[in-house]
Amino acid sequence: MPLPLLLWAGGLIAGAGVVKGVGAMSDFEDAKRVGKSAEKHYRKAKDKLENQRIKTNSDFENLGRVKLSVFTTQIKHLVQVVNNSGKNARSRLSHFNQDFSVQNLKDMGAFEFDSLKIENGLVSGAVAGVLVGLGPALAVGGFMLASKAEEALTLAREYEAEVDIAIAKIKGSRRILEALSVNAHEMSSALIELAQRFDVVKVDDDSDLMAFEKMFALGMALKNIANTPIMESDGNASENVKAKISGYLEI
Amino acid sequence: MLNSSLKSKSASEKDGGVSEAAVLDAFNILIGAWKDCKNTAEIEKTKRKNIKAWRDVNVKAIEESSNVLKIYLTRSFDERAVTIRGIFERLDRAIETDNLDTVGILLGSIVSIVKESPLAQARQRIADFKNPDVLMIDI
Repeated sequence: MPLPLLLWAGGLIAGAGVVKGVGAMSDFEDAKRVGKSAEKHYRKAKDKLENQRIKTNSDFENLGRVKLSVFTTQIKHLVQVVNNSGKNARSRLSHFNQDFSVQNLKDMGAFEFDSLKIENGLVSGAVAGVLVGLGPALAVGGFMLASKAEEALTLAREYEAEVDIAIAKIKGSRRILEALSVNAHEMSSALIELAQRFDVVKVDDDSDLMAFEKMFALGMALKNIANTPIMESDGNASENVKAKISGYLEI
Repeated sequence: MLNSSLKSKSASEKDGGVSEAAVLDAFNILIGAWKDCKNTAEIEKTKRKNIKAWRDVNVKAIEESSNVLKIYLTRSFDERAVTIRGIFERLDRAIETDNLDTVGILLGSIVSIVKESPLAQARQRIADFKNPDVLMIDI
């Protein structure tokens, strides 16, 4: 290629390199924006999950209180009546405290990528190139910067995708916690309804056998429910929501 | 390559001009950098496309399971509430009429419903949902 044509073509490509370098700065900004936005969404989803966990645990604390109240009022009364009748009776309440935690959550960490350091290095190199009059260096720097910006964008999109998947899982765990809350309310109200009926039919001895048997049947139903934790057969509420079950009381 | 080009440039500058070889070197470097940039852009675009597809498939699968769970649990809790309320009404009548057998049966029903966790059943429904051999899911 003749020298003037080479210089002309070189000038064009160099110009394109400089333009690419300038465009790369905007791509870097896009990458940062995508990453930071994903990070913000993830934090928000985690906060919502934590708030639901606190609410669910509070609902289970209430359920635990209802269970304790039933045990120390209605069941205690039944045990006393049986003891007074000449038979020995005792009762144990367990598993009335339940505390839930969310596990296996992916730790996304803050959004950062190493290429940003390279970006800074390239920018200062390119600027130095201009200062010493190295036009081709600036153009090559522009192309390299554009490549790094593409990689940064990919990293940002990858991070965003991982965050989106993590958020979908978080929403699933939140749904489990919400369901557990509904379940706790359901059990609490069943216990309260049964306890109210127990109080209506309760007797202080077994002189009226029909009345005593009604109270006994209601007492056993109360005890049965009060002793039941809400969970699956494997002892957990779900894959990610783990239950810690405790509590033991004896009359 | 860039360094050698710059060295050539420096050498020619000492002679008071720019040699054709140095210009060619610089041109080739520019072409190389341009090609690298173009290749990288294409590779990264493909990667981003694949990332998006991977993200969409995963999010969709998780959301579908989550939706099945939501529908199942909502219906299940609604049905249980209606059933439990109905049993309590019948229990009250049985208590009033001293029908001990019925009291026992109804209390057994209440205990059995309340003890049964809808979450455990929901897990089975989700497993059915994911199983291609299951043609009908009873929600």
